[in-house]
This record gives sequence, structure tokens and C-alpha cells, in this order.
Amino acid sequence: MLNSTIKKLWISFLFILAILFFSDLLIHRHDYFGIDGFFAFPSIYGFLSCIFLVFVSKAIGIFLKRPEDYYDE
Amino acid sequence: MTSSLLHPGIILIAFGLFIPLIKNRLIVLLFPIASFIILFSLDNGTIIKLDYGNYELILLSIDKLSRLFSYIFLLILFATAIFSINQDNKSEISSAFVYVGSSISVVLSGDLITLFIFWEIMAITSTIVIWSGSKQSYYPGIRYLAVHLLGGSILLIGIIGYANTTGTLAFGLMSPDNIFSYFVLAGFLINAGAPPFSSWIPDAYPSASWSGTVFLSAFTTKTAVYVLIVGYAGYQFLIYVGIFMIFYGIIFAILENDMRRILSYSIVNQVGFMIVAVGIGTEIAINGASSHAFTHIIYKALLLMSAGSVFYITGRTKCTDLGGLYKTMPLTMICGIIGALSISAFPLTSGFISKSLTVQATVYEELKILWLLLTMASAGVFLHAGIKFPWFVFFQKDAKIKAQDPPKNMRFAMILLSALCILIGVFPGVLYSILPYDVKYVPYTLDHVSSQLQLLMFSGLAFFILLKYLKRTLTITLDFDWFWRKFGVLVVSLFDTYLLKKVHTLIHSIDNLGTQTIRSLHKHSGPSGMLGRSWSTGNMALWTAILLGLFLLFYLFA
Repeated sequence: MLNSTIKKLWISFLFILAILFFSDLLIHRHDYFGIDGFFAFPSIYGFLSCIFLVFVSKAIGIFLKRPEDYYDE
Repeated sequence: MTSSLLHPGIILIAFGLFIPLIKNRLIVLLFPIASFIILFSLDNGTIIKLDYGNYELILLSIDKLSRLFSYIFLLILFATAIFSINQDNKSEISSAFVYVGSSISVVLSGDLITLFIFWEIMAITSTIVIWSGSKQSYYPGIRYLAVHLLGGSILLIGIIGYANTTGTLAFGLMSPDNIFSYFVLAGFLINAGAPPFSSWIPDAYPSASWSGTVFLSAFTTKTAVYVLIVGYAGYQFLIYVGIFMIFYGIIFAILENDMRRILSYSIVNQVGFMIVAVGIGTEIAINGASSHAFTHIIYKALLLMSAGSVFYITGRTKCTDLGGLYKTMPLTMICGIIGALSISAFPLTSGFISKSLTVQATVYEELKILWLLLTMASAGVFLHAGIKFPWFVFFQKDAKIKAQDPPKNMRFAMILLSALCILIGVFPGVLYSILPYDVKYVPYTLDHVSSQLQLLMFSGLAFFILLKYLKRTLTITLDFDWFWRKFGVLVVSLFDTYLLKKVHTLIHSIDNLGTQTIRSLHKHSGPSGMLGRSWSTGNMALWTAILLGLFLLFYLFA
């Protein structure tokens, strides 16, 4: 893809993210457990969860990753 | 009488055995339709019963839950039969039909013996589906079969013990006080892909053919979910098992390079969600588990069809070899993305209206930690399956592969399932009406839609920010199966070189001793031995006379 197309895609993606993030000002979300009533909780929690999961798998990968032919006789 | 003997599962098994004789593959498509008509015409209740000594075998018993699972099995068999019309390997198609027929028979069985018999037929026929893949499928197939025969043996121990101690074979909620119900549970969990045996899924499924993997993805794990719902709803232990499977699936899929293995890890992840719901065990949770099984079967088959098409056309399965296919395989890409959005539970797709039930169940039960874990996992699903699969296969770099969309029948099957994913998502009422319990839950609220979109889109942001850490490498990841694929082999070879020699000399000396004993026995008691040979009549008479004479003398003098 052209660099300019990629740039446009990024801009529209960030625009959507901003709308969703600030939609919390208008939409009253239920809070069942207290913590989830926090401003833009799903955005923040989703983002941090993914970073956490990627780094956990990276850490596990250090110990458990092997070359593809590991099991070949 | 004859009409009541028609069994939707067994008839499919019978049809399956005839497939090698059928030339026109379109005829094969009629089989699931016939089975569907039979099932549809039957009322709920116990229909076929056999007396077997003190026990009663219930071959066919239908309720809302078993009907739901049978319908989705038939639907996906139909779609996959269309997808695989151009699969020339008839043993694969034939065994796949027997496999699906026995899965339906498991779901429709009312007692543990009938369940066990069809359970084992599933294990054998699914192994044949795997072996139909290629020469490389042989060892994964053997490992797959070994795990399932082990599971089957544990299940059989449980069933026999349970029947002996409780006096009943009926399959319903299993008594938590009976030790044998835990053997049955272990047998079921092995088929669900629970630890430490999760690795059979990513090991065996991707080694089947481009169509075989689609057949395999739907049935074994989901019959396991069905029997867990019936036998073990509300067993809290299952929540922990499910959580482990959810995060195992995500983490291993993030590290994986092969697209079909990524999707296999994702099966473990999704079944984990269902098992958590079974562990919660409330009405809404059971609705969650069964509707999630229903929608998951569709979108996972769709994802594997998309991956299967890429494999069929390009012959490649590794993310490191793929990329840029959006230009040459646009329809495969669109259908793959619809599957990916569904598995991620995007609003307006089937995943959104099914997974929400399970998440909502944790809210009703006020399980805060579990809610946080499931929400984190929902973000993780988007990360490992929702974006990772389409991104690495259809976008990333341009791998400059010559390709085009697959043949008509494969395209049609993908379009059919894509349409179902969206229709179920847009009109949730249809699926909700066939769930085992009444549904009062409303998935489409502004609140819920906005929360879900925030969660998913910001997970997407995290994916692209972390892209350089997610770059695939030519590696595999060790799993529990290391213990029997590597460690076990090492132990056996050590045994061979050191212990076996000593054992061998010992056995040899025992053998010698034995031979000598036998020889001496033979010498004295054999046919020509002093004690064993036959005597002539004259000799016998003489000796008898001598004995009688001695006896007379003894009598006279005593």
C-alpha cells in the first residue's frame, strides 16, 4: 500500500478512537463493580490488557520457544 | 414403529459409509438435509430405548439443549460438505460423515454406555480425517489417537464405577459425592482440550488437509462442552480450568507462526470461555455456553475455511511466508475478516450476542475478578485471532504470491457462513429462542455497544503499537506434550541403554532356570520318563497281584 494511504488510514483510525474515548462523556455506562464506572474504563483497560498479554507471552516465549525442527528426528 | 427407529445420528453414519461409492458429490449434500428432516420431525423426549440386562440403553433422547447442538452440527456439516466438494480424498469425507454422525449420536444419547460407544467411534474416525491430510499427518494422528484413547479409558473406568456404585447408567447431572464421576469428568475434559492435554488441538488439527481441519474444528470439543453442560453445570472447579484455557490459548497463539495453529490455539481459548460458563452454571451462563458453542462453530469454521482456501491456493500456512493477499484473494479476505470480527464479538456479529451472555452471568453472580479476567480475555481474543490472523495473512508485507480466490463451491460455503455470522448478530432473537432457558437479556444497549467498541478498538491500537514485538519467527512453542514427545523418549532410551541390559541378563537367567526345570520334569514325567510312560497290561496285572498279595499277608499277620 502507498504510504499516503497508510497515513490516511491511521488518521481515520485515531479519529474513531478519539470519538469512542470521549463518548463516555455522553453515554452513561453501568458500573457493576465500581471500577468499571471509571471514565473510559473499557478503552484504558483494553489497551493495557493487550500490552500486558503481549509482554507476558514474550516472557514465556523466552523459555519455551524452540526452532521449528525441534521435534524432528 | 419403523419411523421411530430412524436415528438422525446413526443414519448419518450409515450414509457416511456409502460415500466412497458415490460419484456425484452433490448427492452427499442431501445427507445432512435428510438427517435434519428426521430430527426436525421428532418431538422432544425419549424415543429409542433398549433393555440391556438390569440397565436401560437410551439411544435417542431429545431435549432443547441436544436439539440445539445437533442442529448446529448438521448445519456446519452441510456447509463444510459444500466447501469440500473438490476434495478428492474420499476417505476423508466418508470418515468425516461417520465422525459427525457419531457426534450427533453422543449428543442425543441418554445413557453413559451409548455415549461411550459413539465417543470412541468419534476418536477413531476423526483420526482417519487427520491421516487423510498428508504423509506428515501420520505422527500427529498417532499422538492424537493416543490422547483420545487414554481419555476414553479414563471415561470407561468412570462409567463402570459410576454404574456399579449408583446402579444407574442414565446420563444427567453427575453426583459430586461419587469418586467415579470425577473419572468421567476427566475423560470429558481431555476431549475439551483442558490442561495438561490442550496440545492435541494445535498439534493434530493443522496437520489435516485444507478441508479436514474445518471438519475437525467443530465436533470433538463441542460435544465435550455439551456433556459438561449436562453432567457438570455449576462445578466451580471448571471456572479455573476454563480460565487457564482462555489465557493459554491467547498466549500460545500470540507466539505462533502457522495460521492454522493460531486458529487451533484459539479453539482452546474459546472452549475455555464455554467451560467457565458451565462452571458458573446459572441459567444465563448455560445459555451463554450453549449459544457461544453455536456461534463459535460457525465463525471458527469460517476462519478455517478462509485459512484453508489460502493453504489450498498457495500451499503455504506460515505467517512469515504469507502477506499481501488482499489484492489477489479479496473474497477470502472479506470472509476471513467477518469471521475474525465475529470471534472478537464485534457488535452486529454473532460473537457479540453470545459471549455477552457469559460475561453478563459474572455480573449477576457478582464475580468481580472473573469479570475482569473475561474482559481482559475479550481484548486478548481480538489481539490473537481478530487482528493477527487477517493482518499477517492478507496484509503486512507483500509476499508477491501468485494467487486467486478459490473455486466456486469454496467461495459459496464461506459466503454462506459469513451471512450467518451477521444475521445471527443482527437478529439475536432467533438464536435466543432455541436456547435451553428463556432469555431476558438485551445485548444491544448503547452502554454495552460503546463499552465493547472501546475495548476492541483500543486493543487494535495496542496491536499496531506493539507490531514489532509481534513479528513472527520460525519457531514453535513447547507445551505439556514435551513430556511425552521429548522427556518420555529420553527416559525410554536411557532405559534401553542402562536398565534394559541388566533386566535382560536377569530375564535370561530366569529363563535358563525355567528351561532346566522343564527339562528335568520332562525326563522323569515325560512320555518316556519313569513316572510318565504308559505301562503294559501284563505289568499292571503283575503289580496288582503283588500288591494284593502283600495286602493279604499284612491282613493275616495283623
